Amino acid sequence: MTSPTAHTRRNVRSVPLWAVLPAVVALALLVGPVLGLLGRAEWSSFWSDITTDESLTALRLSLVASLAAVAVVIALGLPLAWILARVDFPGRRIVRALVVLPMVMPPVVGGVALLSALGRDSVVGGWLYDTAGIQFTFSTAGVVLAETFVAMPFFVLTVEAALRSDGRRHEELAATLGARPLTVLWRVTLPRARPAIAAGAVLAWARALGEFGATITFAGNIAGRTRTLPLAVYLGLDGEAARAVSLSIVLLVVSLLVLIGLRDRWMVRT
Amino acid sequence: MRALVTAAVVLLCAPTACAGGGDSSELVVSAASSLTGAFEELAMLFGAENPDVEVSLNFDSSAALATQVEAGAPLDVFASADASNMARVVDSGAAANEPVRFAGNDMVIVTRSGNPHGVSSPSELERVVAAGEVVALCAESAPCGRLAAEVLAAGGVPAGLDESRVTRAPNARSTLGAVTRGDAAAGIVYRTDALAAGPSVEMVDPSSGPVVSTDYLAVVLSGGPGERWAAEAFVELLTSNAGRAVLEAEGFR
Repeated sequence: MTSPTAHTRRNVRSVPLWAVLPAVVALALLVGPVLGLLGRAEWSSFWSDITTDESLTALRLSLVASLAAVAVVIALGLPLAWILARVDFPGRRIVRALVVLPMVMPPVVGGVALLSALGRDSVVGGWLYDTAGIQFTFSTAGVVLAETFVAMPFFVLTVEAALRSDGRRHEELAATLGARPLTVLWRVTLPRARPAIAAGAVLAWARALGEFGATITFAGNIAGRTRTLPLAVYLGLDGEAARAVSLSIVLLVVSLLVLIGLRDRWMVRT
Repeated sequence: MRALVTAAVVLLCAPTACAGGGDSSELVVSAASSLTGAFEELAMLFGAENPDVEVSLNFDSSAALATQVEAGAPLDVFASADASNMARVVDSGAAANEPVRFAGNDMVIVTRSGNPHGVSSPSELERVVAAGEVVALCAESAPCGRLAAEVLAAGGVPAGLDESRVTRAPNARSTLGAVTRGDAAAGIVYRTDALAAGPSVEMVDPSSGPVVSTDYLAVVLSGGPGERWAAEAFVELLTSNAGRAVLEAEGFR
C-alpha cells in the first residue's frame, strides 16, 4: 500500500460541496449507529451485565470456538494459500474464486449450505451419525466449522496476496545457495510472510468471533455449547435489552482492538 | 444513467406500489411466527375484498415484534401469541384501540419422525436429554418459550431441562424446523405448527398430559403507513366467520 503524496491532495477549502455532503452523510451512517449504541448503554449495570454466568459462558465459548476456528484456518489455509501463490495448475483461477465465495455469500446461506451437507438428514451428515455417531449440528464442533467456513477466505486471500507480491526472488536465491525446498519454506518463505500470516489470522479471528448467521442456522443456540456472544446479543434483545447492549459493546471493543492491532495495514500515516 | 435510475425506481416500487396510482395503499401486519400459514391465507382473502390495499406480512416471535413496536417501527396491525407481549405494545402507547382475542392454541411435544425415544409425556424429555440428544425449545423471551416452561412444569419438570442440551430458537417456526430436519430429537411447539409440519415430525397426543394453551390477540396500531379503516377491517376479518374458518382449518381454536 502506498500513501498518497501531499501534492495530490486538495486544500480543505477547495473541496466541492457535491463531494462534502455525501461524504458527511456516509460518515454519519457509519459512525452514528455506533454512537447510538454507546448512548443506549446503561453504564451503571455494564460490569454486572457482562459478568453474569450467562454472559461469561457465552464469552468463554466465543473465545474457545473462534480460536479453534483460527487454528483450523491456519493449519488448512496456509498450505492452500501457498499452493495458490506458488503452484501453476489448471483451474487455479476457479479455485481462487471458490475460496472467496464464502466471503461474499450471505452467512445464513452458508449455514443452510452446511446444514444441507452435514445436517442429520443430509447424505454426509446422516452417514457420519449412523457410522460414527458424529453430529455437527447443535455441537461446539459445528460452531467451529461454521466459523472456519466464513473466516478461511480472509486468511487465504491475505496470505496468498503477500506471497505473490513478495515473489520468488529470495526463495530462488536461497535455493542457489544450496538450501533444500523445506529449508527454503521454513527459513525464507514463512518468515517473510509472517506479517501477512498474523494479519490474516487476526482478520479471520475477528470474522469468526462475530459470526452469527451460519452459527444459529447450523449449530443452533445452546447455552455453553453453541450460544456465542452474537447469539446471546440477538436473543437477549427482546427480554434483557440492557445486557444485550452491554455485550454488544464488548464485541465493539474487541473490534476496536483488532483495528488498533492492524493499524499499520489500514491506517496509513501521511 | 437515466435508464439506470428508472430501472432502480421500478425495482424499488414494484412490490409496494409507489405513489402515482394514488388510490392504492399499504397495510403492514406483524404477526407471531406461529400465525404464518393462517395469515398468508387471510391476507389473500383480505386482498380479494380490498384490491387496492397491499398487505405486507412480517413474522417473528411476538417478543421480537413487540420490541420493534416499542422502538417505533411503523406497523398497522400487531398480532401476538400471548397477552404479555400485547401488554408491552399497549403500554408503549402504540395501540390505537383495544386488543381483541381471535384464536387459541395448545402446546404439544413433537419428536423426530418415528418417535425413536418413545416420548409420551413432558417428563420423558429428560430421558431424551440424558441420552445425549438435543431438544429444541423457543427462546425464553418468546411466548412459546415461556409456554414450553409451563408444559415442563405441569409435566413434573419444574426446573426445566438441562440447558446444555436445549437449543433455543428465536421463534416458534424455527424451533419446529430443528425437529423437522431431525437434528433435534424433540421439541415443544404449537399444535398448529406440528400439524403444518405433517409427517416429518411425530406429534405426541396432547390429551395424555395437562394442556397448556395460549390466546392470540390482535390490535390496530397508530403510526403505520396504512389507513385506519383498512387496519380495522383486517382485525375484524380475524373474528369474522370467514376468518374463523381459515384459522380453524389451520388447527387454531
